Amino acid sequence: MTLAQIYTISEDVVAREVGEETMLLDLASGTYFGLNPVGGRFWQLLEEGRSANEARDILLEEFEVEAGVLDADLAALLEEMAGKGLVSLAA
Amino acid sequence: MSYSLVWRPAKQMDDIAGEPFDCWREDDGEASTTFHRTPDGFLLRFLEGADFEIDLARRIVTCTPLPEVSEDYVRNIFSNQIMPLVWTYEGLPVLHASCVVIDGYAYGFLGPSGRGKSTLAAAFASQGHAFLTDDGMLIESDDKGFQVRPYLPSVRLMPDSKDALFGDEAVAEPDDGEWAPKSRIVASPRLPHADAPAPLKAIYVLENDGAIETTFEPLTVSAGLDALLKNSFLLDSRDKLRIRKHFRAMADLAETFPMVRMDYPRDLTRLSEVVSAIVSHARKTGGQP
Repeated sequence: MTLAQIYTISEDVVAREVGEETMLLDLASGTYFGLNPVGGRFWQLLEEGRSANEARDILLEEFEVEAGVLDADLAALLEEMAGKGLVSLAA
Repeated sequence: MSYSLVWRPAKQMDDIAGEPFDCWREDDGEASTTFHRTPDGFLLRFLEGADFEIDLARRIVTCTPLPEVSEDYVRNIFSNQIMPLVWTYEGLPVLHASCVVIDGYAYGFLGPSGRGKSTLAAAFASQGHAFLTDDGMLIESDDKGFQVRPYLPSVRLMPDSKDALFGDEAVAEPDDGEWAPKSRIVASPRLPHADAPAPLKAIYVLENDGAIETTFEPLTVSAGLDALLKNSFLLDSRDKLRIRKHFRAMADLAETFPMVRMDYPRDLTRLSEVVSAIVSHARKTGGQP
């Protein structure tokens, strides 16, 4: 999975900011998933319809993080979220 | 809010057509309770107790117990499992928690079975802090904020807790015999029960990691939400609308109230000391971690 690909957020996911984190509830499975502030902001941007690459560029402006580290973290996050059915590759 | 409990004659359980939509399991993986839909609501089968058919429209729960299962045991399932599930379904969240009143405010003790919820409730009450519930904490929100409703005016205790707290003083209702070793101790001046709602102040999440002293550790909001979701009732795990509402209700609680991870020595001779430590923590900090 790469940031260049287009992802679709599952309609079964409810997101809620709680404190500094974002909790995602997957209504389909009843399971939930916690995101740190960077991950939560990434999710928010995807929800707004941004592509993963656009979201990555915004995160680079908003957080003090190296591009290489962010790219690797976001790729891993997308992989994990796809594995849980929270996002999927757009057809 | 109330449902009528209707009894049918005891009998062995019939087969139920179709697979359950949900299942509770024991630690060893064995199913303990299965959840089924019916035209009128739900059928919950407690495999070692009884079938409970919930008719949502008529607000009736029809119970068919297994032969030789004690009535008290079945009534306990009705009160501490069926009704909390139904109330949560109807939008009144219920937590797996006991709750006591300190200086007019409600403090909950959240956790799964075996963490000491009932023992703490009884220990507090025996020292003059009335209990609202020993299991099944009903939370309603209105213009006054979040209030905890009083629930059953009795505490169910294991024999060692009962002996440590009350010795021969308390009048115990008939216990569950072989089905469950707990005794039900009814509220009394010695074990005061709060008869009015109290505003919620904080929730303590009970751990059991072998603490030598009573310890308190603040939980992040997300950790608090995690604890609430794991320790709250949910009747229909496939009902997306209600799951969404439940998630939001639990998040509201986690954001609004301090949630404190608490551990304490599991030494019944030190219960008074544990109560004092919690009261002191509650008063000093208003429940704030």
